[in-house]
Formats: sequence, C-alpha cells, structure tokens
Amino acid sequence: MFFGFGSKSTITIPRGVYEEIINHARESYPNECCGVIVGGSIKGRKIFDSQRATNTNTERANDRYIIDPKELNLIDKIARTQGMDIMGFYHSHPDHPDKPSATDREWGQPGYSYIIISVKGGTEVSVRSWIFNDDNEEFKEEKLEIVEPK
Amino acid sequence: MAIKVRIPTPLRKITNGSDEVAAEGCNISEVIENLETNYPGLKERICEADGKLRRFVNIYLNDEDIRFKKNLETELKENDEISIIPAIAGGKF
Repeated sequence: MFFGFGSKSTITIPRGVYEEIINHARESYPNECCGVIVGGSIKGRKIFDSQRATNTNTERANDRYIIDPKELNLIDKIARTQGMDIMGFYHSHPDHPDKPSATDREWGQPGYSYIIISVKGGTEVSVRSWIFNDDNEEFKEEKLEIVEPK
Repeated sequence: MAIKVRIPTPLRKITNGSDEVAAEGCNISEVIENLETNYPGLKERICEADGKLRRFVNIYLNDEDIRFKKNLETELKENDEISIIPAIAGGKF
C-alpha cells in the first residue's frame, strides 16, 4: 500500500460495528477488551464486521491482552467462507490514551489495522486506528471513516 | 502428500500475495522446509534459528494447536489443513 507524504491511509467502518466495539470496551472496563475486525480490500480497506475475542491474559487483564489463537483460527475460517479476510484487531486502553504502547508495537504485526479504544472512567471514549506495513516501521495513524447506514 | 497452508496477512509479501499455498511433507517440519524452498524467507518468520517455533507464531493443524500435539514433528495426512496464526497481543503499558 502506498502512503503519500503526510497523507493518512483510510479504513472504513460501518456505524453499527463502530458502536459495537465501543460497547465492548465500555462493558469490559476497567479491563481491556479485544476483538477481530473482518472485511476486505475493495476500492480501499473496508471493515464489514467485528467479533469479540477472549482475552486470555487473565492475570493482567487490566493492562494487557492476548487474543485466544483458537478463536482467531475459527474467526479466520468463518470469514473466509463469507469471502472476507481479517483486516485487523481492536482493543481498549482503560484510562489511557488511544495510542499504541511499546507493548502494542512489540507484538504488532505488519499489514493489520489496530483500532484502540480509550475508555476514561468507563464511559468517555476516543477511538483511533493504527497500522504499519514493514517490520522496521513504527505505527502510523490511519483515518477511521465511519460509514453511516443508508 | 499435498497439504494446504493458510497464510496470514503479515507473511503474504513472501507468498506473492497468496493467502493459501500448497506444500509437500509428512510432518509440519517437512512442510516448513518445503515452503522455504518455494517461498524463501518464510521459514525464518515461523521458526527461531534453533528451529523452534517463534513465540509470535501459532500453527494450527485443522483446529488444533500443534504445541498440544507433537509440535513440529506432528504427522500429517491427506487433506489436512495447516493455518499459520500470528500471536495477537498488546496492552496499554
């Protein structure tokens, strides 16, 4: 994917999916939530749906997440049968900014979108999406464009 | 024996964009060696220098994690499917 100087790439998300991941983040507060976003690349990167995933890091659920790989394998298989692909992942940062942490970058994988939902006090939220395309790059913000229902 | 291997997004640069490739082998190790022959650079993304599976990578044979089977020595049979699943993790600190 080409990134022009200073320009952000864009990923679109339907309003309903956007609200669902925010609800998941609020419900999980003060712990982190995590999930998978699926979609496709047709005239740009598009999210069509999301799936909640289990945070298997139960010891540090308030500041770490690990997506259950068995669930991820299953979500990938279901997405494929529907002609979709895994576009990335989301997780929340309770009482912390919506920016990737050093841990997020350490475990980050190139080519996926990482949506981060900041939840302050369990209610107030801000959401941003991040991506990098090569192992030696840092995360760059991508524009998260909400698609309103017709 | 031909085995289908599901390739995740981060490794598709090495498989020329393919999300699924065919490989030959009687166990997981042989499949990885065969993949390396056809897609140079893939093995080092899956295995450490000592040959063990990298901590950022999970391999599923059909619906089971090979770490709970015989790991890289897990035997394969016709029509098996292997999925390379990246470890997805992080957190606010």
